[in-house]
Amino acid sequence: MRHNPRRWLWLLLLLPATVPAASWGLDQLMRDLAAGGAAVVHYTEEKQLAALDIPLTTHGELRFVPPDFLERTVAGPAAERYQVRGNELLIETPEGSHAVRLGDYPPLQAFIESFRASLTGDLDTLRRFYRPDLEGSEAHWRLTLIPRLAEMAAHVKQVVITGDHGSIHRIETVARDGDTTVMRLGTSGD
Amino acid sequence: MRASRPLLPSLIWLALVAGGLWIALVRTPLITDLSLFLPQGADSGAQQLLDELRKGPGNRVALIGIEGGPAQALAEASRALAKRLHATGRFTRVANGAGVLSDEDTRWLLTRRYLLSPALGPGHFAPDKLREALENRLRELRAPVSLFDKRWLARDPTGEMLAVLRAWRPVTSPGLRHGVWFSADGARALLLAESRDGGLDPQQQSRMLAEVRQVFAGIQTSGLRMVVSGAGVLAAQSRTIIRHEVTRMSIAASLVVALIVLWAYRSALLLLLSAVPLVTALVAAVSVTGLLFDGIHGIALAFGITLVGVAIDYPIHLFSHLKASDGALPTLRRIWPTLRLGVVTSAAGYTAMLGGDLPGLTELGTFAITGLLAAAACTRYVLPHWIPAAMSPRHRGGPGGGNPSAPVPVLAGTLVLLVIALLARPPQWQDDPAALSPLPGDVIAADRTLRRDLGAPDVSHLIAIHADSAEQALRDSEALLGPLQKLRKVGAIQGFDMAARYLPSQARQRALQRSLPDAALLASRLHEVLEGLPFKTDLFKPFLEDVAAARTAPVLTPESVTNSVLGLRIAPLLFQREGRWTALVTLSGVRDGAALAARFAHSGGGSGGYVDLKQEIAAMLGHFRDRTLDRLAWGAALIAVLLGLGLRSVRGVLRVLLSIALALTLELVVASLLDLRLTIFHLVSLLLVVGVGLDYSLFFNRPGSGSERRRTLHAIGVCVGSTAAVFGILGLSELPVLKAIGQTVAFGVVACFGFSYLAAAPPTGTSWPASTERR
Repeated sequence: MRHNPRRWLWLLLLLPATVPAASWGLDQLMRDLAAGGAAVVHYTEEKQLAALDIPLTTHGELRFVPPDFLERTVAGPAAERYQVRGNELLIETPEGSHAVRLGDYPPLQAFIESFRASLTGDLDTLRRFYRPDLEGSEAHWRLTLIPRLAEMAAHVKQVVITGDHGSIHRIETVARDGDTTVMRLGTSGD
Repeated sequence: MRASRPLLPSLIWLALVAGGLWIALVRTPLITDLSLFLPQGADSGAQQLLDELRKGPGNRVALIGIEGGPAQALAEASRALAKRLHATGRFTRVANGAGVLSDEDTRWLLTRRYLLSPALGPGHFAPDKLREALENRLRELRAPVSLFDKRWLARDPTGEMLAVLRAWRPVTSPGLRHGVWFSADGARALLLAESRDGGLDPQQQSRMLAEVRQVFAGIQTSGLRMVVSGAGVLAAQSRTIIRHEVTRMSIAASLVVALIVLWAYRSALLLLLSAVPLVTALVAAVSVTGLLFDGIHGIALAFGITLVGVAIDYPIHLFSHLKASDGALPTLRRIWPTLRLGVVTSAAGYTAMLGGDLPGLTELGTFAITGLLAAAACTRYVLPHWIPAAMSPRHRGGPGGGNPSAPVPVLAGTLVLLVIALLARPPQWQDDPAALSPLPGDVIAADRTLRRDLGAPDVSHLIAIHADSAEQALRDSEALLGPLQKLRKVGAIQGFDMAARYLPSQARQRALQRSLPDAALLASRLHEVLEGLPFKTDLFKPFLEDVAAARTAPVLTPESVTNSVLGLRIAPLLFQREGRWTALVTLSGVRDGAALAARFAHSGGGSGGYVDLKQEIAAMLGHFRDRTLDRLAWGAALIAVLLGLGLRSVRGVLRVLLSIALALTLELVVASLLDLRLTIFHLVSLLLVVGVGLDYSLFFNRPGSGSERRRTLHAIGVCVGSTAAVFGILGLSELPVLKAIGQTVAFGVVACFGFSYLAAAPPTGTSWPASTERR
């Protein structure tokens, strides 16, 4: 076998082509998340509150239909349903249902927008509400969101989303007073 | 000897003018409130209400809209503006939908929630209710949307603060975009700013407005526009417009009159002298009116100046009748009886305005009468001394001495025909007081848009409650809560606001205190119901402390909350005037006024009840007009009597009265044909026309030779020319009021001139020898 150094030199030219893999970042993550499209996932949520002796847990299903329909069906302990369509939130509880304008509750609006923006890969919207900071790798990323708006920052210290590639595993919301909510997402049972 | 005679009157004149000038400039504030020109209805609470609304803190609220950019930029501008305005410390409340209450205000309310909560009542802290409340809190904590603020969980597990805050939400709040108020179409970000002072004082309003604009200019980045409105702001704007108009009109009118006088007499000295009675009249009128009424209304001033502007006719009569052979003083003595009769009859006409139900009109009448008398006195006692002995204007006099002298029966016949035409098609009255507003239509439209966007209550629909004490007024208001909520449910009204929404009566507060369980009982109940719930032990200690404190807290009264967020909120809705308390229930989106009137006609106790201000004002205007017409009839009778005394000739009185009656009826017929809606200002203008017309007709009917008649024709020609020019200019004004006056008077004086000329008696004697005129 003849050793041909020029062959290796030629390979050097390929190096720049491998750089995109190394520059995986927020833009790519957003594209990956957006690729998910409509989705139904099972979730469990655990709230650690200073006021309570034990954590509060709920579980149920999350459904997303691009571009702006979001539904959270709580299976237990009590059956409840929250639907966001556009700028309106419909709350259905065993006591009855009522509609709420998202704009009336800035922290809520910011939270839901962050969720929707993540799922649709809308980086501009995300940046309007948060300062995003991405760590880790494509296979194990961790997106920390610090609220920009004073109204939300008064309630929420940070939101940390972790996942791999285009799927979200965990959303942790840390409240200003230290109370913490952790939501774990898994693929739905079907 | 000769020099000493003119000196004394001149010195007295100088002293009076100097004193008057000082009072006019230093002691006479300019008032611009339009309601002075609305009748004071003695038989209705509406005027009183109007007065209170006018003085009330409602006028401190500025409605602000920001437009002309993307929603995001508008929202940011709204936040920045609210923050900066708040930081100036000049505003008691700046609301844009984002956190309507400051932290401090929220804390104030939080500590008093057990006296204020509309949800509280007997049994509210029964074990089952308590358990239910706690379970609800737990559910809310579990929910992804925590509407219940968990900051207050430990202090307020039953959610009373939320109930209090719900009452604090605007009656119909605008929608939020990007966390701040927006108009329904999203084109405008909306704010409300309530200034700490102002309200009544237009100067402070102007300052406040300037401040808002300056702050906005400071945050302005990308071509956004700001619209500011509100009752107080509009008052300030009216003031600016009136001042601008008065200045503009005065300059234009002065120039035109100066040119006419200069052209007529070709003498700079006479031009200067012609202004002396006018200046004297204005100084006297402003200072006397200012002293009598503690200030002068902008419209009374603007209109008064023009009414008194007719004073320039007096020196004109003097100048035109000067003869080279005569000095100024003999000339004046020659025409004085006629001039005096003209002044006295005109002044008698203006007495019709005095003592009416409109304070503004009384002011105007006083202004006009004072001005005319001062001008006449100045022309009689001061002016002749200043005209050089040999002075004679180089004018050729009017055309030949003859005039048609139409026979009295012909004139009477014409009048009958005109009256028939008038009766066949009488002119319509203008019943909408807004038609009198000096503000241009687009400003009023902008105010209406902002008001609608913000859901600000329409102040024209109210229920007024009068009581001897604040407590009684609040109790009476509370009694209306149920019926009003029912009406809102069925859509008869969109919403309502009242002081009792924010501050319950002492009776209710005491009842609430009695319904609170004592500390030991509540603690044991709480311990019981917490069984099986995950709340930490002792979490609700602050709750127990707050309830215990509320049981013995002093109840809140309008006096005790004066400077708090609560006091500021209820001040426009509950106030004391002359020992009586008034509570206002403002209604928005009224569908069926008649039903409300029937339902709440007698809810107010005594003079209170449902009021549709717009309707009330229209009714009062109608009532006022009838009274004014009565007064005019009396004024006409008085004028006829004075004429009879002065002229001592039935035929002479008939000729004078007929020429004026002809001019007036012709004017009304024309107004009717042009579909002009008549206001009280047209009536006042007609009074002016009567005054001027009397003057013309009296001079035309003066016995005298053909050559004297020529001089008279010249005098009246100059008078008509200047008056028609001045009022023609006024007719071009942007102020509806001035426009109406200008057009009416300009037409009227020309008509008076024509009819007086036609109706005048033929000249007496011959033009030569002139000895008949000499004594």
